Amino acid sequence: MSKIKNNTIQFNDISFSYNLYNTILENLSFSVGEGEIVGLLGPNGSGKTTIFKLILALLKPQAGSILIQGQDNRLMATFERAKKVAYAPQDFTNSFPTTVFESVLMGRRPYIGWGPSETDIQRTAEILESLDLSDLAERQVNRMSGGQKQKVILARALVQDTPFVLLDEPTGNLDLRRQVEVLNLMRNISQNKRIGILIALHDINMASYYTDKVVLLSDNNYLYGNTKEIINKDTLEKIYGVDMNSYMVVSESKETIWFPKIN
Amino acid sequence: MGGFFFARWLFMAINTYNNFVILQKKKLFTIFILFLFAIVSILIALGSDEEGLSFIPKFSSDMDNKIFLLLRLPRIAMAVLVGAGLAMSGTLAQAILRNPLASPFTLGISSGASFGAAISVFINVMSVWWTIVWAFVFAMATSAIIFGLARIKNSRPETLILGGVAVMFLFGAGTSLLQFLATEFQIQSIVFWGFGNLGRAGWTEVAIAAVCIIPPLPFALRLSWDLNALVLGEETAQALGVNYHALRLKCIALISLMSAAAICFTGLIGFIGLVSPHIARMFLGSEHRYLMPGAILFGVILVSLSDTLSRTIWSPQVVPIGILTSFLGVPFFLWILLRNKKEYWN
Repeated sequence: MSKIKNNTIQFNDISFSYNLYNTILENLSFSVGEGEIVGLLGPNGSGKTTIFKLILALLKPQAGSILIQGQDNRLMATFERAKKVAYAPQDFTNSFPTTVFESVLMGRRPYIGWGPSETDIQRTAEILESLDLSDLAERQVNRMSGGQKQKVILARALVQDTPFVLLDEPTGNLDLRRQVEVLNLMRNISQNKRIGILIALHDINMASYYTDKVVLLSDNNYLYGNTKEIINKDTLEKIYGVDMNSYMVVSESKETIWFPKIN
Repeated sequence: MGGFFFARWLFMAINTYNNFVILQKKKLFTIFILFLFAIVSILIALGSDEEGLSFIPKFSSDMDNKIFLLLRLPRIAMAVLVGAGLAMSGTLAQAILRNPLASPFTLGISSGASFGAAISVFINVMSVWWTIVWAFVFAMATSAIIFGLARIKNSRPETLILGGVAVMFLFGAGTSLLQFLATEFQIQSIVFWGFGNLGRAGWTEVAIAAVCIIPPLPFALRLSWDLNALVLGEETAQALGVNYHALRLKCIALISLMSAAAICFTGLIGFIGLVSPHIARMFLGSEHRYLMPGAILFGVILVSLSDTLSRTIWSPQVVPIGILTSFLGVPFFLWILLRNKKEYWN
């Protein structure tokens, strides 16, 4: 990727509310840099999906601006924006069945005119093989397991060849092994291809292990900074409203495991 | 070791690539076969008369020539236009409403047209042309309501479907009211209009219908990739750079024009708009570049075969085609529905 000055997604003092009485985000500022994994954490309804929709310009903030590589995201042409930011939603919501190959190829939409070019088909085939989906290429997506569907969604986001990827709870439907697989894959991609990743997660431990920075969201308030500094007993208890226990893993990695106190 | 893995990776990727390209060629071939079928059904429709099925029309007398040129040819031309227009409208409606039940009928457009036609009969307009105009105007008025609903930015596809069904009931009630108030003769005309009839078509009608139905087809085909993206979800499509709201309005405009033109000249020919896209989807998948031509061809095949049947099954009586499309289409549709274990919608 060529060197681009200011290669970030930047939130500048974003405020957003769906109605007058209920502010979701207030003066939110953070950035996702090149090769960085930024986690979005917070209780349900704290605005994680709203943040994605704001970046995709599906919603309009009441105040503030979002800059993608220095350009205001609302002023970009739709296909230009789609070449910068890819979005992987939580679920598959197909209206009609499509095959795995078709579903992933659709990620090339910003590059396709009348029909897919050789490059489009080639990129799709490559990504499918990289995610171990080649054997399933002609299968119908709606007949696959939750984990496989999740991989298809990821593949579609990756085939878009964007400098930034937004992941809305990519591990939501997955068992433990698949969660680790997906998150390892995302980490490799961010490191090797210098892709900036904004990822919404529910699992605090996964977040503290895989992300470089986090945005912790709660009612009208947020914390942003390096994961190791932000995730601690005080902040977690404040944000989620439960008492927390922490355990140090006795091994060379010395990871901290977080667990809510159960009465 | 790294070299081996890379070679394997490359081999698999090339394999997937080739499989996809082959599959696309197979789909093109399927469309070609369908095209041949369509030609055959048009030829049967042209050749058959009250004496039976045939591929070759009779030209034994001057009368035969006149019947062929002034009655049968425009009738079959209209059948082809109506089949293509309704099938394409149905495909577009199912794509933008993201719903397998959507069709020009569920959008209320046909009920609007019926109501318009009923009014024209009720107020005793002097020529058939006024009935056509009234039907067209009311079909477009219905579309305007749906268009207005779609203009509201946050309206969900479900809103449009429910709105369409509500409008359908409204115009249905209006038509019933007119029937209640009308004379016996008028009731007969209104009911007969609803059966669908290709016999009303002359060359002028065909020309006007062609102007309304043919130009929208390439427009719709150009929207293929936007519609493909929309299959994946509204937000996904928007994230891929598709302007969903503009797309929706464009499609509703195209649907309105094509189905209003088809319905106002021929009355209600049911089922074609709903079923053609489904049959095409079973053979060709959900990719609109193949689905759309496939649906058009199935529409043409269904309407021209139904028309042939309508003229020959009980000759010299002509059974209204609107009745036959369902009698012919439903068993066929149910048969492939049950034969294929796969699901064709989510």
